[in-house]
Amino acid sequence: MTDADPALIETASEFAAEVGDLLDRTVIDEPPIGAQVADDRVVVGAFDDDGNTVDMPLAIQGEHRLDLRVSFRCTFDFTGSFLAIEQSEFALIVPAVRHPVVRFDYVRERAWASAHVQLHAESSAIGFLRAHAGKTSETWRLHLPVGGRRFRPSLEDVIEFAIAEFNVDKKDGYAQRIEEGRRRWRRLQVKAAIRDVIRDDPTTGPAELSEAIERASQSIEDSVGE
Amino acid sequence: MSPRVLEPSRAELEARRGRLLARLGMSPDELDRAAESGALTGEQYWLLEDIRSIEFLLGPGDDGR
Repeated sequence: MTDADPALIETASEFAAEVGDLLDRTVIDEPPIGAQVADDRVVVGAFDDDGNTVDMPLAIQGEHRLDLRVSFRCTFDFTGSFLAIEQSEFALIVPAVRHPVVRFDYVRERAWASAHVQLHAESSAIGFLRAHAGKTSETWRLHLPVGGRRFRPSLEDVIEFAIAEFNVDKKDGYAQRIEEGRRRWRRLQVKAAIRDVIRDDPTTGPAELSEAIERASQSIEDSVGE
Repeated sequence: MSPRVLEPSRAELEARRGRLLARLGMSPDELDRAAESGALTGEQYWLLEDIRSIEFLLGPGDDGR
C-alpha cells in the first residue's frame, strides 16, 4: 500500500467536510464524519479514532430512537480530478437491536437498480408473489429502483425523509441547508448525465442537448417577460 | 472544523478486519453463505458491512474474492 496522492486526500477531506456540515446543520451535533484513504480508494463516513465505523444517533422528541449509518466508498475518477462514488449506503437503524428499518443503497457496478431502496418490513402479498416466482419471500430482499445512477436519492433526501416520516428532531434552518445541498447535488448529477448522453451518442447527442438548453432558456425568458 | 483523514496501513486494516471476523466467529465463506441466506442478525449484518468497507480499502483481490 503506497502513500495516497495529496490531491486525493484534499478532495476526500473536502467531501467529508461537506457531509459533516450537512448532518451538523440538520439533525446531528458534531457528527464524527471523516475519511479513510488507502492508495486511490477512500471511505467517507462516521468512525471513531481507531477507524471503526460508528452509527450516529437521531433523536425523536429528545430521545435516542434511531441510528443513521452513512458510508461512501469512492475512488479517484478516471480524470484524476474528483471522487467517483463506487458505493454508498444510508440506513436508518433501530438502535437496541441494530435492525435496519430502511436502506438507501447505491452500487455503481450493479447490473440493474444500481440505486435502490430496501425496506425492512413484511408484506404477505409480496411474499406470495415472490414465492410463486421461486424467490425468497422476505420483502426486504426487494431492490426498489430509485432514480438510477445519476438521479438517485441524496443524503439530503434521506435526512428529509427521516424528519418527515419519523419526526426526527431537526435544527433551525435545516430545510434551507437541505435545499442548498440538494441543489448542488442535482447540478453535479445533471452535468454527469450530460456526459452520459454525449458518450452514448456523440453524433447527435450534443446538438440535442444544445437544443434542449436553448428551448429551456427561451421558455424561462418568456415566463419572466410575462 | 476540518474532518479527520486517516491513512491506515495495510497491517492496520488487516488487523481490524481480523478483529471483526473474530467478533463474528465465522470464516469469510461462512459469512457469505449466512448473508446470502438472510441468516445474519442486525448486529452481524453491520459487522459484515464494516468488513466490506475495510476490504474495499485493502483493494481488489485482497480477500481472494
